[in-house]
Amino acid sequence: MGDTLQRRFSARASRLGVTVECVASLDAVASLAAELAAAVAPDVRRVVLAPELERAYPALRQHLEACGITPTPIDVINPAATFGPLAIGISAAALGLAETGSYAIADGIADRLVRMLAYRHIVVLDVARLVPGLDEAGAWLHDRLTGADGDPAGHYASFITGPSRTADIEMSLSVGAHGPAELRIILLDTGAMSDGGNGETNHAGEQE
Amino acid sequence: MQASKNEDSGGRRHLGWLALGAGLAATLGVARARRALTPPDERRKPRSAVADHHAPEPFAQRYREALTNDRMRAGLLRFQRTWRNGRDMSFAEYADSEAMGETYGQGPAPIAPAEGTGAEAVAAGVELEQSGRTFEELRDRLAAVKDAVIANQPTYFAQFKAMAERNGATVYESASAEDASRYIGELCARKGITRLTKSKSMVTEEIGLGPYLEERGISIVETDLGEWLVQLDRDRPSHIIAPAIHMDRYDTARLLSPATGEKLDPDDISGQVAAARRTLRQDFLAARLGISGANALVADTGAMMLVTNEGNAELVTSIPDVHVVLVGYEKLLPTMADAMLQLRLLARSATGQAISVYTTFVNGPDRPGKEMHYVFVDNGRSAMREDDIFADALRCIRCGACADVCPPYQIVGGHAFGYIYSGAIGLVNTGFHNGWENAAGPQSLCVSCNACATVCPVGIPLPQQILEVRHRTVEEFGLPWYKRPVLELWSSPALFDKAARLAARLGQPLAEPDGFLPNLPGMDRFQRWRSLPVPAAQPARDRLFGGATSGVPDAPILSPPLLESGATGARVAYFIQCFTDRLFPEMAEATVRVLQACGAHVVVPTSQHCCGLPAFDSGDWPRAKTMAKATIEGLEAAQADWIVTAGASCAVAITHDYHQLFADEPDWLARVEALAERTRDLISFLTTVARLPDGSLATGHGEPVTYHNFCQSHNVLGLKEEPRDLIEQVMGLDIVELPEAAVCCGFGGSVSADYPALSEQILARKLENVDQTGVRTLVTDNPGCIMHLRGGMDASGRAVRVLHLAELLDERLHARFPQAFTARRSY
Ligand code: SF4
Ligand code: SF4
Repeated sequence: MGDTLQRRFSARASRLGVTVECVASLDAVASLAAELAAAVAPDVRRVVLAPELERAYPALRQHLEACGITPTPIDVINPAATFGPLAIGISAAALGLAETGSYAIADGIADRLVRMLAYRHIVVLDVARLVPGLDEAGAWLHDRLTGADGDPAGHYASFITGPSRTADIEMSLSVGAHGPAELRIILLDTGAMSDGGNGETNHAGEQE
Repeated sequence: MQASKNEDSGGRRHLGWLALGAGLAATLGVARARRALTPPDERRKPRSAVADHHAPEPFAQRYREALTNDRMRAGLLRFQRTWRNGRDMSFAEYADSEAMGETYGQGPAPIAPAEGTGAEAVAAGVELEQSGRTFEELRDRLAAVKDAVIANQPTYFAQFKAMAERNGATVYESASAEDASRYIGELCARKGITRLTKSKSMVTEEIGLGPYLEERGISIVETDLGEWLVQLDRDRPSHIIAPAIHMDRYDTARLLSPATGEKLDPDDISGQVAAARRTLRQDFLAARLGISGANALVADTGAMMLVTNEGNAELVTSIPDVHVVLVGYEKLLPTMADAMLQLRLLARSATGQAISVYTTFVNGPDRPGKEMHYVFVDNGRSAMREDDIFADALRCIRCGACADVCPPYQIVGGHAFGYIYSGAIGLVNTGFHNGWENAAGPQSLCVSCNACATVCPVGIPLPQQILEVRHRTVEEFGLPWYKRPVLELWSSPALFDKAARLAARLGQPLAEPDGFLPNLPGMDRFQRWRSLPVPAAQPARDRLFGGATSGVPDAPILSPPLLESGATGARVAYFIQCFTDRLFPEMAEATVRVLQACGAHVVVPTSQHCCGLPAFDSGDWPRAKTMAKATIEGLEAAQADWIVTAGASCAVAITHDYHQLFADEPDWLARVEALAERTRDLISFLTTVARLPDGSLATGHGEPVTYHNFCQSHNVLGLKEEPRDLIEQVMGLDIVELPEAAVCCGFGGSVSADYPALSEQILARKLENVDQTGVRTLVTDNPGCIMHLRGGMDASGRAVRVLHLAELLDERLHARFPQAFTARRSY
């Protein structure tokens, strides 16, 4: 009964042209990346992993390699070479906001390059990290930026809601203004798997 | 600096016409505007902070050029309509989300302000109701937060500065606009930087940073697509958040093709965007310094918030090793929770989105070797903060909504309707940021429709502030030359009466069969699109109190009491209103009949003249006060239970504008308050005092009508459903909804005489909307608008009659009680 964070999140994000799918394992993330990569010509085919993602999901790299994908290392000094025009970036999200369909992340420059310079962007979001909305996100943000959550203080955080877009020409909506033209959010629901965050960010009765 | 010095040959031609019938001129309220506004005295030194060689063209030129741009006008109309739908839907959806069972947390726990900054005490003072998701509730909360910041700015600034520095950022308080530019220029020089990227920041436009750096060999690459387009066009933004909204796809393709080195197809907008992406990507990657503004500065964390849809701000603030934030003090917010509140209002107000695509928070340098500099700019903000009337304007979150609802903005765009900032806020803040001489022209385009005040997400009283800007403009630069004689005449009851009677005598023999004046020589730009009525042979005052010259006689009995009404036996002083009196006396009789049918004892103060609104609206407050005082005295003397007028704008003048006019005269203010309590426009009187039962005036038949909400009735008095209830419930008539029913008709008091071409275009939008309804009767409640709409219908050959609601009520009264009226109505 009643709506759930996940349903609300998916509905809001989908409305913005985001593909949201729920999977049970990292395997599925790797196969999606492989599928998208297959559609790109080999000379510009790149799959780039954000450091935060690798930290949260160290096993993902193996899954990708099993799908025949060797992630491209990030050259922070010369990012153009890393990404090219059609890279597929994969990064992790810290929170999902049901209110807006946004994901939130506090990250470093390399992560940001991945989520800004890739043409297609896959975001991995643990369902346990879904929160109702901006109020919770604001509290998280405050703690994250001040270090009140126990980790060293972050210096850069973003809420991202749909693919990069512009309507500056005749109000006509075009995606991929500067950031990714395509955003896919993978809700990872591993059931038993825990990164230690699920108990506190979900409200009883609101998880599917 | 007096008017006579500025008469040009055109002015003299019109003086000839004035000589032909000064009375007619005054009566019709048609000032002959050859010149839009008296230009400021040449001897006065411009006080603009912006490098003058880069200043926009003179206002008159911007206005003229805007009027010739049909494509822009069509684009802006589409833009305003799309915006309105999206904005309303997004707020409605959020308001409904609670009922849909979407529970959100209580919000982040209040965060203890940093110790020793003094902000603890301040934070404790901001006690806010945390629930409530309607636009109004959100707006009032954010306004209260912003007010606390404005009142305690030094404290919040100190807190922010301490936190930002702790986070590793540098905070610089510039002494002037020039000094801010200098700081950035020197920073670039020190680092050997000659090319930098920038994401949208209105403050850089405000202080003229671009030209300053360019002169020093440093080029700025704008990275917001709209800003880039404007930069490529060597122009300036015409909208706070949609800088290139004045362009169409042909303009953009013309600009982008050379800039991207690609041959771009105007019809392939995505292709244009993709080409811009490819080109700007190289600039993003090469830049070593990035400049951004900030949407908010969170004092208790020392973080800045930035919103964009394109993501350019993320790239500008991430890739270069130096990030400069150019910002005004008014962007401070106490906590992250406040920033979340602002987000909920900002994107919905700006674009109808629940949140922008990229919402970025930067809390100091994020890596070794990175520098972050905050450059704070005052540039008139302190003066604003210390000014009781304008301090509220510092609440602005730069959403652009005040332009998106503004009817004149739709016609002329933001280059004319504004200066650096466009829309209502631009009319308000230009004087402070860029000099009062630059505010003089744009402010004169405001029709005082109050639409901006209804959508501003921080509740800034923009229309009142604009009137204050106009007042100060007139005090400093004088009235436009042609307005002085008109207002001089208008403010003298005896002269005005003589002139009006003379005009009627001259006009009556000229009247065409349809009752309008024939085209008069030299009057084409006033009459071509809006026929002008002939003053009535017998004004309402003659019909209602005949020869009486003093006292408060009873109105003649035009109707017996016929209706079950809460007004039975009430003594009602009827205030006629100038146009009703001289042009539409039958409207006055209809009003009296309706009041009497409601059982009211109607009296008519003979001393009544004009409430002073034309002078008030023109910024001529001394004359407005003279007229207002006489009106107050006359109405007080009537010793009535209620003062009722069918001139809705006069009701608004008495109940609202007089408060502003007499703010500095406490004695009069007290009298105004007492009078305002008893003063009602006809609709409010009928719905709150008479409270006619449903069906009282229903006959079971009658043609459907459509209803135009007079802006001030709708936006100031909040009369939305009331007139509809009277028509549908009390009179039993069907209403065919008028699209954009509450958008101004273009009359705007003297604006239609000052800027006939502007007024004509606003009227055209209204008439086209009326066409959509297919009905033959348009009803509204303000006589000035009725004159304007009737004239427009006639000039465009439309067979739609325009009635005051009083006249419609009167028609139904006759239809319902035919036996009660022996004499035929006069119209
Ligand atoms: S009152 Fe009306 S005309 Fe004036 S700025 Fe506001 S919306 Fe525009
Ligand atoms: S004045 Fe109000 S409506 Fe206009 S831009 Fe500022 S916040 Fe938005």
